[in-house]
Amino acid sequence: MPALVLALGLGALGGCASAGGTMRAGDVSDPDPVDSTGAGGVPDARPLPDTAAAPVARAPAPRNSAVVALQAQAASEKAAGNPEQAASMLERAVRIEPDDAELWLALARLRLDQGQPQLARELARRAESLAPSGSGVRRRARDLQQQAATGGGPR
Amino acid sequence: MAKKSKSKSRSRSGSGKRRRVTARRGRSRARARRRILVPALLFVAAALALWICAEGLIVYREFQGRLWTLPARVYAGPIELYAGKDLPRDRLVGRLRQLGYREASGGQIESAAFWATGRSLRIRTRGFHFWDGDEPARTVQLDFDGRVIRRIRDAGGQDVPVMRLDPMEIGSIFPAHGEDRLVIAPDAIPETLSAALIAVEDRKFLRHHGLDPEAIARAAWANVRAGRVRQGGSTLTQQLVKSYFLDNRRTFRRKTREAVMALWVETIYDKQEILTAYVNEIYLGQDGRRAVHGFGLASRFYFGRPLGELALHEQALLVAMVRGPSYYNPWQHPDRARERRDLVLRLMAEQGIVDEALAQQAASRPLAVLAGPGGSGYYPAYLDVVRGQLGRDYAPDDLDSAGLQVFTALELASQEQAEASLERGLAALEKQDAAFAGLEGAVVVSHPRTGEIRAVVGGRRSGFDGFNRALLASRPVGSLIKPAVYLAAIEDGRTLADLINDAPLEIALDNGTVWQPGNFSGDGEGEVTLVRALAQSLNLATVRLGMEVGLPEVIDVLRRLGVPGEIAPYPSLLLGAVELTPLDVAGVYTTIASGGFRTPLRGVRAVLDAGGVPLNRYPIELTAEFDAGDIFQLSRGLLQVTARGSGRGVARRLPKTLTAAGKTGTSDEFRDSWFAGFTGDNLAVVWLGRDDNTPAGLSGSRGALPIWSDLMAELGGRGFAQLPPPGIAEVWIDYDDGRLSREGCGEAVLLALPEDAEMAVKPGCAPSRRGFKERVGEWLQRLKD
Repeated sequence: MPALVLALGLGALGGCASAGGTMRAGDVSDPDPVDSTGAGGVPDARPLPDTAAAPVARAPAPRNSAVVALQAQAASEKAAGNPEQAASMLERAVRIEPDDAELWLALARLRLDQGQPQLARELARRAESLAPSGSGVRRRARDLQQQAATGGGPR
Repeated sequence: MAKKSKSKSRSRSGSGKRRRVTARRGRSRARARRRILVPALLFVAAALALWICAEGLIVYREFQGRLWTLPARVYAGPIELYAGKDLPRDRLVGRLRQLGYREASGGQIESAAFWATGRSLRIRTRGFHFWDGDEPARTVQLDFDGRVIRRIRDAGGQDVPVMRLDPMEIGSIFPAHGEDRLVIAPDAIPETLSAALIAVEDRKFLRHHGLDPEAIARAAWANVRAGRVRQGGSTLTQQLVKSYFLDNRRTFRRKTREAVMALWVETIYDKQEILTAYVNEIYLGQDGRRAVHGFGLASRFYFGRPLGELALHEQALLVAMVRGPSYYNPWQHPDRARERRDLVLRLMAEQGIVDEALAQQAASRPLAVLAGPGGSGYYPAYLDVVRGQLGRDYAPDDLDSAGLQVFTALELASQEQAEASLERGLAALEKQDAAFAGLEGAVVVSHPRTGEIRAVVGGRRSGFDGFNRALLASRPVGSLIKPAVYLAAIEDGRTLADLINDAPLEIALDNGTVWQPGNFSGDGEGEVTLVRALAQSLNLATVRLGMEVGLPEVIDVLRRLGVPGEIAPYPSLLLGAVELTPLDVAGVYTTIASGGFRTPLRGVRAVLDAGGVPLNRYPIELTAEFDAGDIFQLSRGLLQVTARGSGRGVARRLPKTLTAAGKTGTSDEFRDSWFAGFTGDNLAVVWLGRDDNTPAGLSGSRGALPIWSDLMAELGGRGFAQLPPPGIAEVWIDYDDGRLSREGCGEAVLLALPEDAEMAVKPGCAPSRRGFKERVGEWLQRLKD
């Protein structure tokens, strides 16, 4: 509670202090575009879509059961020594849920194990770009990039 | 008469010597004749024998060869079914009908069918062999919750997490002579069909040796009476030979050749082989350039279903059409077709193939063909993409004759909608102004994350083979190029909140002339933010920015975005004096939409050989060509195009949740009207113009944009959403002067900027500063990353 009071105080202070001067973009409080319309003062105040953007991906939603099932199938194909079958299933899952970072990471892992570090790295980058900040998948995506960059082969 | 006797007497009165000479001469002439005649006869006999043997050789060689001439079959992406999928029941039923599923009404279900039970839908699926394995035939129940599939269970009540329907066949890659076929194996030919063919076309098929002398005599008599060749008296074998080797002329020579070849066919092959070849060879219809051969393809073409699923009355119709596919065409001459079908059914009953009651019941059924040719789905423009992609890995012979099975990413819903939106849009323009008559258009729809091509429309007449504008029409892209200029500026360290002067400028060219670009309207807006210059597509500001950043830098960005070929470093490049096809543009915008990852656009996912063995797969491949933060900043700017810039018509048409980013493009003198843009799930490029390159009279926002918006609204899906990458902050900026602002204060727009960008704050609109807790939270978050 004291921290909150302090934070609010500092925030208010910050807001006052910046009026008319300069400010770093990173210091602006999260504009939280979830609830805003973004219409601003535009004369043609139609519902403007620009702000409905980011939030959809932000909320951690439970994973789609179809892609979880496909990922499991892909894992067994991979274990059975059919990496391309596994890739095909992961891609099926990606088409269903293109923003699921886990799928891109699984695809990256598969390519790394197949000895394609370059592609693995790119796929892991994609996984990282889709993963929420601070999530485990994001960390693993980074690790995998590192591994791919240092020529880390099958694990 | 007297004269004759006189001469006779004179001859008689001549010397005996002369008589002897004459006799000798006669004998020697006869001998000479024999000397010539015998070898000549021998020669003719030998030639005949040689010819007969040669014909035999041709029959053998061609017949064997023909068995392998199978065009590649091309399939659309399968429909995936899973709990949570947005697919209303009636739409699914429509798809099932397209796939030839019957609506069942209880009872024994043997083939692909569906039936409704309460608010659920049950489906008996067809099994299918995909690249990555088999999808079994099974019965499932789908429960719906509004427009969404809530649950899928199999016959045993087990939940099915995900399944796919058999894919729709969208065409084939057939050889240049136009013959298309779908080959049926001997054991897959329905017995009733074989029996009906024999009953109707050649009753003695199983007994004769290729020719039916009685039938020939009957035909010959009819021909003599008619005074010309009218009747054939052909056996199935002769018909097969005629279709394989000969043209349609009815000459004596051709008939002889046909007979010899028929005898050879019967000598070399057994009856089952001949009948199978016949079933796969016989001509049964025409679809533009494509000739429909064989019952396998005819079944798809007329009924949209595999041959094995045809009912008796449907089989009978196909048999009826053998006699004259255009004369008995069920779409053009339904009465004729029906009359002959019923005749076939009567003959079948007479010869005991089916019992009388069954035949009568079948005769009471309607023709039951599809609504029209192409109803089973034929997308020639998409097939061009397939040919292009496979052409890199396969020889032409492999494609048109090796029986490959090609699995594509074509999405029927997108394809149909793209065709409909283009047609609707062009019709609306024509209605507005007769000057817009005769406009052409093209559409490409792709998936922004995977680079898969979902739909291609090559022109207004989409169901026909023709000039494919989506792939072949290279046109100046106009302002579609501008995002590359702004991206180069961002890479150069600028932000979209920076200012640039939108004022007239002159650029000295290498050839000594001076280029004076002009704005779309007016003399310039003065100092503007980069975001406004981008959103409103201001030419002067863009050219100034591009020249400041440097043409080589802009060209480098264009290359990394995926612009193919040489890019000439002329300043006019900055206003889109670059010619690209709609497909190229889709590639460029896919790189932007996917967060800076370049993905080659692909139509083909995988290829199987004729026996179902996996050959190639075309997996997802990508390369990060841009810094994620740079692309994110640009995307935020492109959202403003549709929100308040030259593309603001988009916001009017799309639902609020369907966020879209995009750009208009107009070439010189309004020759080309473009719109390219994306939501979260779809990327589309629309081009309008004229084939002769005369002005279309349309800007991008007036012509292509409404079509694009209509298409995107109908496709639905998720809005464009990306997480800001690390180091990027989303802040409100004053649209006019670029100073930091806050939501709702003046004309504030949401932009993405580097966190360390030092910004002037708009007086009276200062945003609140990040609180201590927020900062600590973020710091902890970064530590976790």
